[in-house]
Amino acid sequence: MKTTLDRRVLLRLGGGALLGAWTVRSAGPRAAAPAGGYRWRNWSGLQSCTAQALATPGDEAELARLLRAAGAAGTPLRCVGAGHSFTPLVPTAGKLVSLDRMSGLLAQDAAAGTATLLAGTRIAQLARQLDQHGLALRNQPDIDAQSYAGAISTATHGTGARLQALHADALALRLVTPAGEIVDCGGGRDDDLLQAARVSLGSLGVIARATIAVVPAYYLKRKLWLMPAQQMLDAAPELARTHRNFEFYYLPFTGYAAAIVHDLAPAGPASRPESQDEDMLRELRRLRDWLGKMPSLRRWVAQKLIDPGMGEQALDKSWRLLSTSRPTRFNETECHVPREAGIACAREVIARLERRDDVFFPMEFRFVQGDDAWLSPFYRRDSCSIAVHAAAGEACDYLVTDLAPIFRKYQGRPHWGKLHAHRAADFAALYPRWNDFLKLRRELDPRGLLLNPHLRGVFGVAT
Amino acid sequence: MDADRKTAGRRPAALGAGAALLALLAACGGEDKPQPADLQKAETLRPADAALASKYERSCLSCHGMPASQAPLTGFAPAWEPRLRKGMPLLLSHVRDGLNAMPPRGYCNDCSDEEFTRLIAFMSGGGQGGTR
Repeated sequence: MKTTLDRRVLLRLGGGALLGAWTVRSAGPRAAAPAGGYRWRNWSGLQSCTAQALATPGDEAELARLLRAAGAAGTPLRCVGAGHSFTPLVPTAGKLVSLDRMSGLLAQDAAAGTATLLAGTRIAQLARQLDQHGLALRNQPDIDAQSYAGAISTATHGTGARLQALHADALALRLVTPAGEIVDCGGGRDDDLLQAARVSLGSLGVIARATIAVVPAYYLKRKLWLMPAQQMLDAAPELARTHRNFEFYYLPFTGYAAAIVHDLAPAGPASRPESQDEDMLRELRRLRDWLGKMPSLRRWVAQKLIDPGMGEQALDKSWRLLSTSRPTRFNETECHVPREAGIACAREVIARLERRDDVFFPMEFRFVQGDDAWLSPFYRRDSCSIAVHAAAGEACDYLVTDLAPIFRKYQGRPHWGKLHAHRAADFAALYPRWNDFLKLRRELDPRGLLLNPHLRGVFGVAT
Repeated sequence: MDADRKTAGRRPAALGAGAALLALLAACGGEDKPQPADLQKAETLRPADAALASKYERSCLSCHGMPASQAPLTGFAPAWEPRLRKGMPLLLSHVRDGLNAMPPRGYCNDCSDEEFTRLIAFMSGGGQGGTR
């Protein structure tokens, strides 16, 4: 999940980057939680709840006891990872469960290209630990704060026309079911359950550990450059075909887009220019604030200020380049459309966004290869992913109301963790294995212990 | 103007820690920018206590070990001094409540207040607690 342009794009306003008198405010609620309650909010601040408690089990046995106790008491339970989902997947009046204590690499087999980890391991931690053994993830998402379980459960992905989402490399999973049973799937055991559990929104059980496919550690070289937006839209399919990782960002009201490619490279001294993402974002925001009511002038000024010849190159280990930090909080929608429709859909999204003066965040366009997980948005479909963001604290309802009709037109499957308005009937039409998943969910959790109001709407389960 | 055009609001929006840090750096004239040695130190420093080091590695390092996050860099005193002047109770409340891009509890759901305090002390105290 990316938001800001990942690399250096400087709009030189007034002869240089200006540091305005910004108002900085704390993101979190300050009110104390009610006695006995646990106050939670997601990273962006959009979702929150007061749960009965937050549990942090230390091992599978403790996790199983926790689930059995919740079942006996009829207490709903939801898992929480890094809180980087914008949809209300977590909020519950019951208990929250964090797997923070169940984290770390358990084993690795370089010859077999596999690693086994506890499911609470955060992507950043996993990448570092794999690197210590000369291994790496095949691909990484833009943000690496997520827990592994949370990341695969929502079909977190990176970019690459021939690279699948993170969950496709989950070879085997261990689930603790709502009944408190420990179940292994994958590796020749219950492959149907594996294909369901890979992307399951925490609704089939709690993923406790995973065995994943890994690759030898590798270096990437990065190149970033600007192109006129229309040229970028035309060139994108070929750029995706010829580079290991390709994505582009459309810079609203500028007429420009930025291409970012990563390709395999021989190991060498790391070279990473200092990130200018936040500078760029601030300048785009300032253009919006100053000239938002005059979009033609805003575009003209941007085109005068942008240096189309700027670029950036970097070389480093894969995990240091593929994932980034995002200091500016945002809310986001993202939809995955059939690859052949990606560019046409992007053109419509751009046109719709530029009917709003308040838009300034870059729109992100990525490529993802299809896979076989039942609820994967990439289920048997090579896809293009189109992500649109709004700064935290600003209006974000338009991310759904304005864009959903376009995404629906192109048979888009929304990212499970990003804002959408799809419900069970929509998903039934988009996912061939939808009913199979619902049946399995009912079998594993007949009482809906792992559901919350949002998931009841997603799955069409009555309250 | 398009009748359907929506006009931007002008209320101040929450910004990330980056804005505050950039403003701080600008006010300091830029001489306090982390140098390569500072970045290397932030990458390698770990609390001496193994249990605390484990929590630091999984919860804190990915932001506080990377300048792009704009979180105060571990072991880099200039970033921490103005924060420390505000007092540990306030810093602790920031971790508990979340601040800017740092979510409540700073990605450490099993940290106690005492551990948060020790982690802040480690990161702000020149990494005392030792390298591995």
